[in-house]
Amino acid sequence: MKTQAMDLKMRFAHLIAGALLLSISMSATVANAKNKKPDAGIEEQLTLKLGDETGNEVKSLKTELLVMRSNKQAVAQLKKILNNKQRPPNKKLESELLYRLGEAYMNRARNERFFEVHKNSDQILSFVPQLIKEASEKEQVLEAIKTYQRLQAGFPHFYKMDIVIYNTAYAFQQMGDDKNAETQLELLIKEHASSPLVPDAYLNVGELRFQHRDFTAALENFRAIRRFPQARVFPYGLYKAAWTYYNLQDATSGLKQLEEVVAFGRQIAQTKQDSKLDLRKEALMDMALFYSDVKKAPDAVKYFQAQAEELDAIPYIMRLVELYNRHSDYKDIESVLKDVLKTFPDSPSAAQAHEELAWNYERMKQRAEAGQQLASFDQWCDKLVASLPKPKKGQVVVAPDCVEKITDASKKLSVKWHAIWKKQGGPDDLAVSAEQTYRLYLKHASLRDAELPAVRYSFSELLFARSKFREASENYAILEEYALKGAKVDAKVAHDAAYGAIFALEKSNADKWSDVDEKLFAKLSDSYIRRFPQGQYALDLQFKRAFIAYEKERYDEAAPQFKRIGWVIVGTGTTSSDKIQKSQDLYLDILNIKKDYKGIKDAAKTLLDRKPEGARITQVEKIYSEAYFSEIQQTEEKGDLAGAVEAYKSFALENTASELAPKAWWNASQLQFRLGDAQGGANTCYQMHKLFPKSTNGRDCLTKAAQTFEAMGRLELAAKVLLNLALVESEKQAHWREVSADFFALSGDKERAATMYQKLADERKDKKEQVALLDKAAILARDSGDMKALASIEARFSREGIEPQASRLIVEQAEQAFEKQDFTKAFNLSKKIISRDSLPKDLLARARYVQAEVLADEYRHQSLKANVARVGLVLALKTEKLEKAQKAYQSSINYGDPKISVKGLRRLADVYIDYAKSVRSMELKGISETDIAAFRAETEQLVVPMEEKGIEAMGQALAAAKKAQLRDGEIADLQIEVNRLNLKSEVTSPVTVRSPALYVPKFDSSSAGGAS
Amino acid sequence: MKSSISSLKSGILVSLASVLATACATGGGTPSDKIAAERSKAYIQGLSYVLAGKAGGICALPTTAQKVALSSSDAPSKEWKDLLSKASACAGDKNWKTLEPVAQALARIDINAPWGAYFMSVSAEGTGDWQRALWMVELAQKKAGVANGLFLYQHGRIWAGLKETTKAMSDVQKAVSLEPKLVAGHLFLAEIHHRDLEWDQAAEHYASVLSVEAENPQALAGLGDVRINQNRASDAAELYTKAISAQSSRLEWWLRLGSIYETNLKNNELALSTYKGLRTSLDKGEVKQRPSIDLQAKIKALEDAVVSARQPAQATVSSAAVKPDQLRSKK
Repeated sequence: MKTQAMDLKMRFAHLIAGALLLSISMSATVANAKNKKPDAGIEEQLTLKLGDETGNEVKSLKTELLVMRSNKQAVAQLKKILNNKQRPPNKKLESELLYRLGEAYMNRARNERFFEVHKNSDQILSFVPQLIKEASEKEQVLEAIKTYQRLQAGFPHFYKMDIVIYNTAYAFQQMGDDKNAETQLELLIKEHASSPLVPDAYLNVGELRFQHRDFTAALENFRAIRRFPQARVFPYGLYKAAWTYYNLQDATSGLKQLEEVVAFGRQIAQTKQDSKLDLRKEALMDMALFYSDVKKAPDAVKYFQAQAEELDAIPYIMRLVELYNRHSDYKDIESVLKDVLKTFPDSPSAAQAHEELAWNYERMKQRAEAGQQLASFDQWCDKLVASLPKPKKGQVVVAPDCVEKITDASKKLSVKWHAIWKKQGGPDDLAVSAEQTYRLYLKHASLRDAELPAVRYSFSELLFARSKFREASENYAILEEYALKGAKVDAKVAHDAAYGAIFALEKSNADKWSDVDEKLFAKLSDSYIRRFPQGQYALDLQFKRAFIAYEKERYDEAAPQFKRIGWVIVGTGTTSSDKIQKSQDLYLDILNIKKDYKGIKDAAKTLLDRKPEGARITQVEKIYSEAYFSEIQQTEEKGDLAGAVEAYKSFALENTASELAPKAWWNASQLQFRLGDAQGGANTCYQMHKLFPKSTNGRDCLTKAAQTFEAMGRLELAAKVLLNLALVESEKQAHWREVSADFFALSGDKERAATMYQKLADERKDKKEQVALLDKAAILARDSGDMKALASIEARFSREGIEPQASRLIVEQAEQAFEKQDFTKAFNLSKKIISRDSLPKDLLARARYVQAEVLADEYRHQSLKANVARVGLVLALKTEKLEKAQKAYQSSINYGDPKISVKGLRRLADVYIDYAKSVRSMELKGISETDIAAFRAETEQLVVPMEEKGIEAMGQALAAAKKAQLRDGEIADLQIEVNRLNLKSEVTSPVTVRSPALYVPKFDSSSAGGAS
Repeated sequence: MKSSISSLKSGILVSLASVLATACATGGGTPSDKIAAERSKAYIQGLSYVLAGKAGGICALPTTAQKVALSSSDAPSKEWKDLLSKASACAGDKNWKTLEPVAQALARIDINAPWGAYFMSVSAEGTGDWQRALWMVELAQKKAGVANGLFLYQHGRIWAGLKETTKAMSDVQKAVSLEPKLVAGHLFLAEIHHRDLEWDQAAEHYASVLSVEAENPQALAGLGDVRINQNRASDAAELYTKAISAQSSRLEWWLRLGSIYETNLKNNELALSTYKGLRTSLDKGEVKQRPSIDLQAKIKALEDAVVSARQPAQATVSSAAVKPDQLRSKK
């Protein structure tokens, strides 16, 4: 309230000062015109130009300097005349000069005020620093007061004394000396009641009282002005009285005073008097305040419409709305504004009401209504714009105020609602309102609004959030157009919008790329990459572009793009993204689709050379090895089998950790077999177990190797392979080891074979199998002369009672003992065997044969030399020995072993014949010839049958030999013996059987002889 | 008793050979007999079998090309004939050291051919490795697919080397049935039967020899001896005469023939003629061995007997009698 009062005070002060200045300037002008003719060029130089602030400031300074110089000259001249001692002025002139001097000082005071006001202006300070420094309005005003007081004191009847007093009051006011000022003004009212300055004096006194909140006194002075309806300050007096009532809490009286001001102003207007006296606008504006205190909102529009009459009432109603707003009377506002729009639907000023109504809804948080109101406002505005006359050609189009209002309000509200919606996560109708309102803004906004890019971006964000992806994409993309048109777009917004346009496009088609969309994507992504080469999504977009081509199976297009991302960009070492790895994978996939395994291999090798980390290295190694492997397979498919063999082997050795390595090695072996390099293939298979012991093909490969070496007769190699096969094929381990031992034996490495057999025997549980293996070991040990090993095995036979081996050893020992003529040992060892009926017949036969031989030996050593007295005894002993031998031979024969039987029979025949021969040749000493002849005759009875038995036994031996087909010469020997015994002459030459001679193949000269 | 111990050793070897892995112990390396026969056919056709040393060719190690040549599993390689020729020559030379690598090369290059294994058997036999020799010849037989006379014969030879005469005879018997021209096989069988006084069997095999080699002196002499025991002295005299005609250096044949004439045929003239023929051969050094009888006295006695016998009647000279001049001219 105070502020408004102060504003009016200033307006009145300027009004008064303007009157004073007018008179002074006119005087000065007259004075200057006498001294110097005004220069037209200077006038032009001093004319202010719109917009040229610096120039205007300098021009103001020049003007002020000119005026100051003139004023200084005036003061100096006046003082010179007043102080002229030689020719002092007369009294009349002196009073006139003092009056002029007072004015001159006041003018100088204005000069000083200029410099004081501009003391902070660098421009002016640079020109007149000294003047600025020394500027003092106060000094000049004090000089003026002193001059006016000298005039009042010295010339009380000066004809312009009312003016002098008024000016003195003014000077005191300038100095802030309200008391002296009021004294001067009351002096004026009292002493010069007829002066035209009296209403002004009342006004000033009232102002001073008002200022000092002495409203009663103030009202008295303001009311005094009502006596001077012709005075210029009359409407001011009414106006100030209204305010004084208001301050005296009498708004109703105040409102009436204002109504008077309005009525007076209407009269002034109607009579076309000075419009400065028409204070209707000020009064109507202040009425809003007073009205809000004393009247109801629903009547407001009608009231102001009545008060304003021909004037536009809406601004004053809007003032009232503003006051209601201060008191948060939103319902009253809604009521008033609706009434305004109803009452003045076509008034251009209704734009304010439209806008305010929208804001009022916003304040009431009725955002849907606010949005609708803005939409209505927009329609209203459109209608208004349409109603405007079309601009002429070249004429600048000025948009109506409503456009700006809609633009501004919609911007603020849409952004606000969007923000709330985002923060609260709903409700959707708020988003709907925000979107609609954004659209209003964007409908009208131009790039003159620096915020347009940001708002457009926000709108795009809202669309995106509301899944309106395609439109979002389009709006994001518009930001680039703004930038191209020179709009300042925040760097981050520009970047995010560029990417948003692409991302929204991608969302809009759910990643199903039509050709049109793909083209658009290419355009947008190109733009992004061009504008933001180091942008966060530059790589992703390059990837995406390649990926779309990939998905559409345009591999030739996609491949170089993926390669660039996966191998070139990553090579810079500045980027880390999953897209790089994906690009690598997809590039490799394309190569795989194209079966370009070499390409995959080389590419993967490059990646491996960069030493990737973690699981990636395993992954790439796998790809590398698979590609490498496939490349070799291609070589194989092309028929370069030898090359494939080498390559498979190199692969396997270079990539031993790869699961494909054993397969490669296996393939190499199989190719070698196919190529005809059977030995090479077998060797490769043999190495396979050492290189890749866990290979699934290991068993097959080793089997093949063993078969191949065996088929080649390379048993020493087959034996080694079988040892490995035994490790691989555990269920047949024992079998393969035994075959391996067999092969070692057949290859000449009998010692090793014997050792292996023994080990195998140790592991066997089946006794028969164990014995069979030990038998083989024993045979080999004996064959290779390894007596130590043989002894060990035989000891085991004996120790463990392994039959018939243990017994066979005893028999052999018996035979050896007999050969060494250790007959007792031989006999006793054999005796051990004979009692074991369960032994094989051949062993029993051999043992018994040894015994027979021992007994035969005893028989032979039984001498027949004796004297007559002992002949009977000796002969009996000999015969007894014979019988023992005979019995032993016969029992050995009875076991049925053909060889032993033949031998036994022959030996028995020998014994019989020997007996006959021995008895026949007995020497008897000490008896007569007659007795000898008698003895011979007697013994002949004994000898002949024995001789016949001998021949018979020999014949039996021959028959047995023939029956047994003993083809080692026994038959012939026996036959010769039989013939000899039967006194048959030799009819056949002794036949020597020669080994059959060796035959070798030879190509028939007449034959084609198989293949060439 | 010594003989029984030495036969024991051979018996052990035989038993080992029987228990060691038989050919193709690892199974699948060998095709069925039918397939094997088909594959090996080309390697057997057009070949004849000659006694080692009679095949010609030069014993030499495989060439560098043969060492590196690829295996041929479908058809005979270009190397196989040369290698076969070398192997036969090495066997003839008893050059086992060279024969082994040649045989290995054959076995490697022509993996379906039986010859690599056969010559490895020969090589093993030559070095006394009987078990290996048996195994290899059995491998050769496997590769041949069908029963092959030569391989059976080689098998029999090895048994013979192992003193397994019965087994040897069995194999050789089968071999000569398949391959009658293996006269050494018939001769082997004939000599065994002959020694064992099996006259008919011996005569049969000697005859088989003579059916192939009519002038085989061993067969002629052997059959001659058999004929005596069969009381076919004239035949015997004729055979001995042919034997001496084929090979006059054998003293015992001269004496045997003389004895047949003198004792069995009571033909002193032919006996005299025979002894004179012996004397001439001795004089010429054709017969190196000195006779145990007093040849001069024998001739004198026979001359006397002939003179005395001529008085009453003129003796008829046997057409089969061998005249010294004939013997000389036949030599």
